[in-house]
Amino acid sequence: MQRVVPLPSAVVFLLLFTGGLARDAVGQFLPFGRNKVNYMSFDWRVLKTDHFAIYFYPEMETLARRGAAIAEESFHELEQVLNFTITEPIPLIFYSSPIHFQQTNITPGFIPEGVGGLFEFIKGRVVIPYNGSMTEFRYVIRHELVHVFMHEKVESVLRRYNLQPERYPPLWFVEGIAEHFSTSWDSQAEMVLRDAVHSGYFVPLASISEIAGSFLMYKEGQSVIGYIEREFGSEAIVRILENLWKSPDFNEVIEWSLGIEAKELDRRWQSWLRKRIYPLVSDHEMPSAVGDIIIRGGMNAKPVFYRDGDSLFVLYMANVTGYAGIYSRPLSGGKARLLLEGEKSDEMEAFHLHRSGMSVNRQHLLAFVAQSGGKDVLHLFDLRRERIARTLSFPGLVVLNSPSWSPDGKKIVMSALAQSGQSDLFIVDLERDSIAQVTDDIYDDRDPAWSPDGKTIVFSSDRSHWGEDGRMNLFACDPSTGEIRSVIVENADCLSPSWSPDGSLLAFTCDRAGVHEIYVLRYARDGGAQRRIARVTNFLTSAFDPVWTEDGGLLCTAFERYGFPVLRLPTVSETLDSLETVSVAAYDDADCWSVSEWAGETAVQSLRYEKEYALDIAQSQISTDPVFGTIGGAVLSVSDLLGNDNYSFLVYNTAQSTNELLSSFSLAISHVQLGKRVPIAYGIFSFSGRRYDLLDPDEYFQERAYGGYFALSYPLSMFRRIEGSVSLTNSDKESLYELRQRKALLLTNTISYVHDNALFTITGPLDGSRFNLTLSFTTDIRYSNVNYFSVMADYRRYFRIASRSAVAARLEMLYNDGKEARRYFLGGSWDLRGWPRWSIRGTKRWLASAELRFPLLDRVGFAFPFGEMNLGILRGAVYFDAGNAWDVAYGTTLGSIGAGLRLGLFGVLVLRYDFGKRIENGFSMLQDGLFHQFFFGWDF
Amino acid sequence: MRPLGTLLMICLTGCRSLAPLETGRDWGDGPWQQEGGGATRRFETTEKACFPPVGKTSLSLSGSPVSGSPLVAGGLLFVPLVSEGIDIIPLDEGEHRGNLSVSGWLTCTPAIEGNHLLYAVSGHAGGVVVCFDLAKRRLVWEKATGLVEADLLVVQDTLVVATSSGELSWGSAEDTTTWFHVEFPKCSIVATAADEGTIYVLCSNGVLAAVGRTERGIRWKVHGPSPTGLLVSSDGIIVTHRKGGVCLRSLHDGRILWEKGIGGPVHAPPAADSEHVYVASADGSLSCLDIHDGRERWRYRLGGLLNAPPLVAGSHIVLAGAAGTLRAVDRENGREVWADDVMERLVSHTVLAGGKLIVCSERGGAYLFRLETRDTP
Repeated sequence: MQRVVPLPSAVVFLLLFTGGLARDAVGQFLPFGRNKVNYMSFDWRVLKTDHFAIYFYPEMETLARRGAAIAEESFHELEQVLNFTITEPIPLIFYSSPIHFQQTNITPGFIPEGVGGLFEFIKGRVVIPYNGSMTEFRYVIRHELVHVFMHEKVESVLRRYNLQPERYPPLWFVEGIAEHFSTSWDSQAEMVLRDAVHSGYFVPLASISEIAGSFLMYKEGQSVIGYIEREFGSEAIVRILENLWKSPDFNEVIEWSLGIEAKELDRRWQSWLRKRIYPLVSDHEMPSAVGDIIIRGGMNAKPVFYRDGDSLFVLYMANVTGYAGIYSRPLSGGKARLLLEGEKSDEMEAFHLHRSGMSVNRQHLLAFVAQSGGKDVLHLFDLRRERIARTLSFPGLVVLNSPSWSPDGKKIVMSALAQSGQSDLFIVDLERDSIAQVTDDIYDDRDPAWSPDGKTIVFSSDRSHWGEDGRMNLFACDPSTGEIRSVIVENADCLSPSWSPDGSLLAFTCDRAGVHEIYVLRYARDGGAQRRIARVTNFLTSAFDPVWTEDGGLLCTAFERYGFPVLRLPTVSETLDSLETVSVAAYDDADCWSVSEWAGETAVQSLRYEKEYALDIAQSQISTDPVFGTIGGAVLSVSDLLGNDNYSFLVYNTAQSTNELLSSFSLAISHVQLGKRVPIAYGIFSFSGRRYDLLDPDEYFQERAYGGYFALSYPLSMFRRIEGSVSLTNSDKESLYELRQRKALLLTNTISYVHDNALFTITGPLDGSRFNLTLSFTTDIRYSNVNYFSVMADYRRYFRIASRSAVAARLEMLYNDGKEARRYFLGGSWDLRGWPRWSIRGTKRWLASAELRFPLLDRVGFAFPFGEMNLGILRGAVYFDAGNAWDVAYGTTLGSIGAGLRLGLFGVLVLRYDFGKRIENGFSMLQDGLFHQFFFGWDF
Repeated sequence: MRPLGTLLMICLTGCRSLAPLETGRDWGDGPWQQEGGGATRRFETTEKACFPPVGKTSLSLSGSPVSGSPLVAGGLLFVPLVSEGIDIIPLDEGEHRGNLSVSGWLTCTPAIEGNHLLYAVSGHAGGVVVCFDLAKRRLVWEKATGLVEADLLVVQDTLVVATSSGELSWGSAEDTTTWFHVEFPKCSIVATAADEGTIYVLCSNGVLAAVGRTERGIRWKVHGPSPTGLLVSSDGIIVTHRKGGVCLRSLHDGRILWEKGIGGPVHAPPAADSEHVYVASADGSLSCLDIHDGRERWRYRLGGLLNAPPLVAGSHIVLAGAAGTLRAVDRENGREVWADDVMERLVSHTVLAGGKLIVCSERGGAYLFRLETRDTP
C-alpha cells in the first residue's frame, strides 16, 4: 500500500498557469515535469453496496461486482477483528489494470511500478488496480480496508478524548497490521527476513524509521505484529489502537497495552526471529556460495540465454542507474552492456521488471514488453543490428507479459490483460499478423513457455482448486486444440517454467519448501497421474526465473543481501538421480474454483457517476516581506471524488493601511479539468495592489489587473507535451513616485513545447534531459501601450558518470522585445552563482552552466542520549556559470566558478551552500577572496 | 509497570483539587438509588417493558462522546461524558437539566451509592476517584488511584476500584483510609463483579481471581484466555473470552464448570437471568445458553458488529449493534419483536429504566425510547 497525501491538482495547475501568465518575475521560471497522461477517458459508474460505493467503468463491471463481494466479506471480518465499524459508505475506486491505475488523478503524483493500491486518508478513498490475479485483488482490497478501519478507529479514539490527530501510529505499525490482517506469512516475506537476519541488515524496531517505506519495513512490521499476536493475542493489537490516547509516545502506548516496555518487545521479537532463522542457516546455502554470480548488485531479473555464433550471452533486465534497462553480458565474464534503456523514450516508457520475462529466438530477435502510450506493446529487438525491428500493439489488450517464441520463430505466446481485467494466454502469429486467444476464463495465466518441439505450452496458473488460496500451479496446453492438462498441482506456488533444450526437462521455481527454490521435472507428454521432480537449489533465501544453458546448466535470479544477483548453477544432471515422485490430479474444469459476485440483501445499483465535490485544502497565510510588504490571504480547493475536476479559490490582500483595504483585494477562481487526454484550465482573476517592477531604478506601482485565461496541455507521451494558453487582462497601472499612468487591455498568447525524462535524486536531476521552448506574444488591443514578444528556451542535459554522479549542463536563453517588454533577472544561488540575487537585469538573458555532482555523505544525523535525528543526505558540486542580462547593449559576460554542498532534507527541501570566485572584468579575472552563498532549492 | 512514573503521577494528582463545579439548574434532593438495568452488573432489569416502543426522543449532550454507560437514579439520567463532565437529564422531561463539570477525562461508568455519586477521572497527571454528595452538592473525598477504565462497582456499602495498571482497591465508600489493596502485576483489570462476601477480578492476561470483601489477600486465582467480561450469578461466574468462548466457573475455586464456543469473537460482557446466559458475538449473533450446562437454546442473527452486552428486559432481550441497529427479541425463543436503526455508531451499553430505553452515540447524543410497561404473567 501507499499512503498518499494528495496535493490538490488545482493548486498546482493554478500556480503553473497563472504563474506563467502573471507578468511578474515568476514567469521566467519555466516549468518542466513529466506528464501523467490520461490515455483513456473512463465512463465511470457507481455500484452501491451495504458498506461501499464502488467506482468502476463498464468494461470491468463483472470484476467490480466480484470486488464488491470481496470488499463486503472483508468488511465483516475486519469489523469483528478490530472491534470497530464504519457507518459511512467507503469509496472504492477500481481499475482493471496497473496501467489504468497509474492514470488516476486521486493523487497528483506518479505512481511507481509495483504499487498495489493506495488509501488516501483525507477523503477516505481507496484506489485499487487489478493485475489478473483474484487472490492478489483480495489481498490488496483487504490491505487497504485495514488502513481504512485503522484510520477511522484511531480518529474515533482521539476524537473521543479531544486529542489532535498527530498521535498516529508509526508507519511500521500501520503497514504491519495491514499486512498481517490481509495476508499470511508467505514465501516472499520469509525470504526477505531470512536474508536480513543472515546478512546483517536487519533493522531493530528502535531504528526502523530509517527504512520507512521500504519493503523490508513492511515485512518487519508484519513480523512484529505477528509476534505480538502470537505472544499476547490479537486483542493486544486492538488494545494498542484503543490506547493511543494515553500517551503521545508510541513506546508508552506499547507498554500500556502489552505490559512490557517497547525495548523489551524489540528484544524478545529479535530473539524469537533469530531462534527461528539461525537453525535454517546450517541446513541451507546462500546463493553466492553455490552458484557462480555472473551479475551482481541491484535489481536484476528475467535472464535469458543467447548464443550469437560462438559467443554466449545472458540477457537480462535490470535497474542499476535509476532507469530500467535490458543488458547483455558475456556468459564467460566481462562487462555488462546496456542494450536498451527504458523510462526515457515514448516507445519504452516503462519495463515491468519483476512481472514480464523476455524470449530470444534463433533469428536473434529478442521479444520483450514495454509500456508505450497508455498500454503495453510487444517489441522485437534485432540483437545483431541492435535496433527494434518490429513493434506490435493489440487492441483491447492493456497489459502484456512474458512473451515466449515458438521454436520456428513464427509465433509468440504471451499472457495479457484485457480491458475487463481478465488475464489469459494469447498466441500471436507474426506471419499472418493475427492473434488467437488460448484461454478465456477468470484464472490468472502467466509465464507461458513453448516446448522445443512446438507441441506444448506450459504455463503457470491459479486455476487449480489451490488457486482459491492464491497458489499458482503448472499446466500444459496443446496450442492446436487448446486442451489443458495438469503438470504440477499442489499447495505451493509454482512459477516460471523453462524447457531444457531437448525438451525432456522442465525447470521451474516453487515454494513448497518454504521459500522459492529451483526444481526440475522430467516431462513426459503423457505423464499420467505422476511426475518426477528434483530440487536443484537449497537456498536460505530464494531463487527465481530459471533458464537453461546449452550445456544443461541453469541460470537463475536469486535474492541475497537485498539484491537480485543472476547466478549460473552447475549442471543439474546429478540432481536428477534423486527424483521425487509426486501425484498430479487430472485437470478438470469442474474442479476449478469460482468467484462470487456481490449479491447482498440491499438492491445493487449501478449508477452513472455524478460528481460530488469535497474540500481538498483550505489554508490561510500571513507573510511579510521588506520589499513587498505584508500579504494575508487564503486558498481553498475542492475537487470531485475521482480528482478529475478541481476548483480553486484564492483571495488575498496587500493593504499596508486601512484606507488601502478595498483597493488591495485580489482574488482568483480557477477550474481545472483532468481525466481526459487534454487537461484544460480556465479562470478569472482580479489582482489589485502595490507591486514592484524590476526596472533600473526599481519602481513601485499600483496596479489593478482583472481578466480571464484559458489553458490546455496536450501530452504527446509521458515525456513530451505541448501547452498553450490565452489570457485577456485589463491592466490599470500607476507609478507611485513618478505619477505615470498606463492603461492596457492585454491579450497574451503562449505556446510551449516541453520535454522531460530527467531522473531525480534527493537534491536534483542526475540523468536524462529537460527542454522547454516557449513562445509568447502580448499586445495591448485597446490602447497600444504594450506590445512585446518573448522567446524562452531552456535545455538541460545530465551525463551520468557513475551511479550517483553526473555532469549537468544547462543552456538557457530568454528574449523579450517590444513595448513594455518584461525584464528578466540574474544572480543568486539558482542561476549565476556568486552574484547578488536578482542584481543583473534585462529584457534579454542567457545563462550556461556546467556542474559536476557527486555524493559526499550518505547520512547526516545526530545521535543524542535520548535518540537519533537524521537530517538527510549530503552531496557536493563543482560548477561553472556564465551569462548575462541586458536591455539594449550587451555589456560584458559574467561568470563564476566554485564548489558547493547540498543537503537534502526529508525529500522536500534542499539546503544549498556555494562558495567560489566571480569571473569579472569582461570575463578576464577572478574576484579577490571568495563569495559565500547560502540558500535553498533543487539543483537545476 | 512504571512505578516511578505512577508514583510521581499520584503525588502530583494528590496536590490538585478536582472538586467538580455545578452548573445548570437544581436537579432535586434525591434519593438517587440506581435503578433500571444496563449499567448494573447483571445487565438485567426488573422492568416489564413492552415492545415496540411508543415514542422516541433524541437528545444532544454536552458536545462530548459518552464514557462508559449512563445511569438512572432518582428519575434522573446521568450521562458520563469523556471530556465534558456528567450531563444530568430528568428522565421524564427529557430536557437537558444540568452538567456536573469535572477536570479531566471520565474513563468509565460512575456509580451511585445512597446520595453519593462516585466517578473516576483521569488526566495527564494521573487518575483520581471522586465521591460527590448529590444532596449537599459538594465534594466528599477524592483519592488518587491511577487510570481507571473498568467500571466502578458498588456492592452494599463497598466501593471497588480497579485500575489499568492492575491495582485493585476496595473499601467503604464513606471512608477511604481503611481500604484494602491487591496488585495484579503486568496486566490491567478488565472488569470486577461481586457477591455478598467476595469480589471477583478479571485481568487482561486472562487471570480470574477472588478476594474477600472484608479481608486482604487473594482467595484463589485461575488462568484463562483473554477475557472480555464477567458476571456473577448464583450458579457461578460467567466469563466471556475474546476468541469467542463463554464459560461458567465455580464461585469457590474458579474451576470450569462448563465452557462453550460461540463462533465469532466476543467483545462484550455477558448478560444473564436466573436460567440463561446471553452472549453477543462480534459476528452479529446473540446466543442464549442454558446457565446450568451451557447448551445453546436459541441463536438470533442480527448481522453487523455487536460489541455491547445484551440487556435482559423483562421477557425481552435488547441488542444494540455498533452501527446503530437496535433490536428486541423474545427471551424464550429469540424471535425478533422490534427493530430500529439510529444510523450512527453507538458507544454505550443499553440502559432501561423508568420506562425508557436509552442508548448513547459516539457523536455525543442520546436516544430515549419510551416503552409501555406491564406485569408479565
